[in-house]
Amino acid sequence: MTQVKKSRMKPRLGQLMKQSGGMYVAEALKRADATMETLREPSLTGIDDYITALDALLVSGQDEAAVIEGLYARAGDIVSLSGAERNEAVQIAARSLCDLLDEAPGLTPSIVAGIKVYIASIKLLHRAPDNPDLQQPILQGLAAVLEKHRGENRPAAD
Amino acid sequence: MQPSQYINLDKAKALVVDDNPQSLDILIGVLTSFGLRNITRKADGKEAQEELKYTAYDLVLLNGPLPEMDGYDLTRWLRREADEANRMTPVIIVTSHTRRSQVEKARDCGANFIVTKPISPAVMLERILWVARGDRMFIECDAYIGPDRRWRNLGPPVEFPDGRRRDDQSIELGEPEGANMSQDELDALIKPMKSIA
Repeated sequence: MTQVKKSRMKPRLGQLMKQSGGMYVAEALKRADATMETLREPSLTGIDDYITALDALLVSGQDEAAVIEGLYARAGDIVSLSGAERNEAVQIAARSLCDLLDEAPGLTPSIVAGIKVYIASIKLLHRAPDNPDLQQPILQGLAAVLEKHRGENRPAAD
Repeated sequence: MQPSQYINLDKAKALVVDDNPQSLDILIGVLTSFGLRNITRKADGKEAQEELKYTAYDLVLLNGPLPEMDGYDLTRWLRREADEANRMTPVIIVTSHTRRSQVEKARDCGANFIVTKPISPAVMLERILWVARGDRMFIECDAYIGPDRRWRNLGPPVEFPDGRRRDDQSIELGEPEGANMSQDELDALIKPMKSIA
């Protein structure tokens, strides 16, 4: 029988945080929001660069696995910086692209077409004002693209 | 997490690992805003592993995918093979996306929390407060070493900052509808009664 040992975690972090000095949670969050604001424009510029990198990877001529890995990494990078956007649509679209690439069996013409739709959509959503009427049809379209590929890759029922 | 809660991260030592420099800047910027000054930054898992061999940290933040050694493998190594000083150090993994093939690996690596990017300061501070509280047991068995995964946050609902759900009754007391009850009436309410059966 497997032996399970249980012990109480007493992180030093907890003891340090109780020492005198420091700041209120409200103050810490206010300062963090101000920091995020200063990083907003560099993050948006970073997303510009990653979108350009997605386009470049598609025509790079590298082998399929390297292209898929590269696209997956860049889509993840866009998610990382998407907190700078004024809405969540870019984050949802980029994460959905990660799903598509993670599940892609290879760079079939259908997958490439799907990736192109994703890149075009992210370009439309990036730096756009928070307008659900504009975002929702685009996100629904991307969800349909992902669902279509999942349907194609699903093993046929016996 | 209450806005009036006091925190002091002045003397805490953190290791932050992310291969995306901008994402690393965001993480460090947020931690610095919380008052954390002693932060070591690394861009790959192997470098971070070397650092953890020789230096004790109070908090470790790792990106999930990392060059050389990913955040999940690094956490697994930390829990199983690292020096006593770091073995129980709180680990928070941040990740943009978890591959389907890595979900189990992420679940079993021994991290305290896995947080999805983009990071939000409120979520990050809340997780730091949770790991600092140390109210989870540390479990060691053949299949798993790390904080108890059956732990649940039983505190106020986190999605409502003031700790109250939308359908909670108001805490405001209205005007009394009638005259106060007399002491006899109050006594009668709590007086043991004989059963009439």
